[in-house]
Amino acid sequence: MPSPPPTTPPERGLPESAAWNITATMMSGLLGFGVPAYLLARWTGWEWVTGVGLVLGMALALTIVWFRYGTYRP
Amino acid sequence: MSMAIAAEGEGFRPPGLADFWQPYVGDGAFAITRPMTLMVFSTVLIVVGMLVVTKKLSVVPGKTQMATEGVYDVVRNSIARDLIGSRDFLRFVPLLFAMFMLILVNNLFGVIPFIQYPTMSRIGFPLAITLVVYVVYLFIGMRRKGVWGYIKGLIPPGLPSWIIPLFFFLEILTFFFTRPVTLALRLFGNMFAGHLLLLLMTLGGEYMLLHGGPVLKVMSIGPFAMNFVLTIFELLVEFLQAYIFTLLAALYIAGSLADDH
Repeated sequence: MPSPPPTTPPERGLPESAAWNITATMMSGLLGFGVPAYLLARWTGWEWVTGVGLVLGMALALTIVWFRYGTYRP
Repeated sequence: MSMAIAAEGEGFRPPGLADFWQPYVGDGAFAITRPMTLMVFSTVLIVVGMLVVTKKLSVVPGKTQMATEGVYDVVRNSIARDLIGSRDFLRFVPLLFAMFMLILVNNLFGVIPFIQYPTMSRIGFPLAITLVVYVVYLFIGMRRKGVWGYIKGLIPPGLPSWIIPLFFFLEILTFFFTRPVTLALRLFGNMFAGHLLLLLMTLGGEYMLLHGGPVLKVMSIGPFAMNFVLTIFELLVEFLQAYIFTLLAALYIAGSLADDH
């Protein structure tokens, strides 16, 4: 199945790449902020910190996804 | 869980992690296990198979040559060339093709009669293959752009400055941790769960047939039929996972070669 080579950088141009990279970014958001927040919550006893960390991480991950894959930058 | 306990109470032992630990020689961390033996066997099988096929290549290919060329064509053209680009892709074809064949053969071991053990259902094997991909994509990225250039390239231009540290933290985590870990876990999880399901259907059906009352004996048709359906499904998953792993490896390599992340 010969098809023309991609003309845009794969990170942005290929739909397959975007789908898998978005999954990885979302997981990074949850892990990167969720785990430290969880540890902090255990250390301080403030349980709400875990929730805040998870939401913040998710929000940031979504921002990255929006910025990287959701906008067109020539 | 409660079903498993109830079943256990009646003498049925549901399959679990312990069924995947099959040492041949010794025990503990240095035991020689069934998946290790299978990995060696698969390597020998692939090397011998490829040598035999490529030794007598003909212009009008036979069935075996056609199948091999078909697989090679998918990896070379549909994965490597289309993703990495026609300028750089050729030097990565051997790595990608070897990886695809190794994963595919080891996955297929899961449904081949008398072997019936997917090597990749032990986490060490997908991790080791992922480590190769990880080193390759980091190495070519850093050689091309320099260590600092590579790391700087993780941040897309045009971001407001206050968000850069947060962006940077998550991008570092994604590139150095989440990507390789998800790559290994995806393959491992699919192979492990699929094989566990097949085991459950086989053992459950067998238990119902041999140890159950007349009603259970008749109802054992269910698990056996499901076993057949799941085996076909598993076959599809085995191909798909080998393909996805190779596709993602090519994507990560392409990402490291691209000018902009």
